[in-house]
Amino acid sequence: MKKILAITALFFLAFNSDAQPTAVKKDMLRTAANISSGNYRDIMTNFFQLALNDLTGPDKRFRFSSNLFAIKLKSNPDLNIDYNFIQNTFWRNSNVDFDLKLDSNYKFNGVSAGYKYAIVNRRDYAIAKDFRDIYEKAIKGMVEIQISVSQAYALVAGTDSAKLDKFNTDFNKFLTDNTVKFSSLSTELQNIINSTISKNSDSDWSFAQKVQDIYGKVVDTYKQKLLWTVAGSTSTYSDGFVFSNLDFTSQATAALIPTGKHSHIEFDIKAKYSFLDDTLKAGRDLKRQKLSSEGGFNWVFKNKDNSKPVVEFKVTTTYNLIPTGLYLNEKKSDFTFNGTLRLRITDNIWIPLEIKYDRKAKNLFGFLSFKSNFDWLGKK
Amino acid sequence: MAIVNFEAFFRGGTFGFVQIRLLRNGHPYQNPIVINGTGHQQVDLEPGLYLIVVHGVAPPDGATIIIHHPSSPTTPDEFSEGPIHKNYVLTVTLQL
Repeated sequence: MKKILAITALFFLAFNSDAQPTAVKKDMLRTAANISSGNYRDIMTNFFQLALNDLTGPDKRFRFSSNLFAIKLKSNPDLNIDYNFIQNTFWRNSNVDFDLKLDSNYKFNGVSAGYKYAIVNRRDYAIAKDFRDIYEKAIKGMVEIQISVSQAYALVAGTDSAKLDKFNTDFNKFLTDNTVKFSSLSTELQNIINSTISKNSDSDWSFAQKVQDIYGKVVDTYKQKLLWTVAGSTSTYSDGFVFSNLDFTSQATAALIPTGKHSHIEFDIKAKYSFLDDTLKAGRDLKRQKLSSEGGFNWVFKNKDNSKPVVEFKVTTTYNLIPTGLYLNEKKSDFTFNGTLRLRITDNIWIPLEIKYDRKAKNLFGFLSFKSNFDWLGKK
Repeated sequence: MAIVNFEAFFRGGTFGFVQIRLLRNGHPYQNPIVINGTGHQQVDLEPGLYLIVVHGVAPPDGATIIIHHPSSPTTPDEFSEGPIHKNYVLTVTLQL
């Protein structure tokens, strides 16, 4: 266990130190990855996710998940250009994962692999057909300011290229750098802006910050839309590569209720049909069948400054049914209450603590996991 | 007249665009040029001092804008995801 933790820690440190320069730059803006909830990222990862699941449970899993498009992109960065990007919908909606399973003594207990496809992914605003129209309407006022101020100082400069250059250098800082406030511009440029904007009482405003806020708000509206996935996965026994189970899963999530300026509740439903080994019969087969369904709500609390989810609390109920292969003294169905508390440690690292309560057995279980997303690996 | 090419590349999404307005010696010149998605537009410009006013949006993995003219050394210009708002000064001289 110590070895695995040490290797994982080194892995995170190595990758996160590489990512730092771009992370600082991008923190100015709300991007797809950093405003997605941890629950969403567990359902569909954009790039890479590494997870240590059920660290305190009897069956530990070391999981690597990736988006197929992210893998393709590593070998051909040109696929990211918009006209290629749109051709790769299947790959972008596909996730694969590989698990290394360990028993309670941290010994090899088999492997598993899975494939997941997003049949409805309205959260993927990158290809949303209405995104541009919505954004253009939202940004119209700021574009008018840019055009009218530009015309005003271009007229003042006339054919004087040095003067035009000076105005333009100052104004470009205002347009592109959110730390440059109106009050830090030259008096001449301030006067030009004041003469073109009807009401400008705030001397501390930033053009770049305003347009980034507008963009972030448009993106936010997509982060609450429906995501519906279907998946298939299989596991092997610890002593070889014979299938021990076959699972088919469908899961959907969407934001339902805004509970405050910086929090909302999203629903989450999941159904899994499993073909398992009937251990009462000789040999290995997949004749035991089990239906597991889970439904509930995930309450997401965001940082008020940058809208990044920082704490999530998920409450669900689980219903299990065994239609075929019921063991003696086993309940045909059961019902449990579950709670998962997710804490965001850094931009990329989440720690989920899962708590299950068996209503009939009156048992309480706790599972601690560790998950990290490596979105920046998929980028330049 | 001088030929100037405007080129834009958008990465990681399909909603990228830029709209380019030209001001010559301080006055609006021609209709705005729009590049919807990765592509280019070519214009013939009379000699003069131009202010090129660009706005648009870059998809999740960013955008690059290139103005093909010797007096525009600030491009290629890279933009990360989000709003694009930037102006460029261009001095167009008579091409022989």
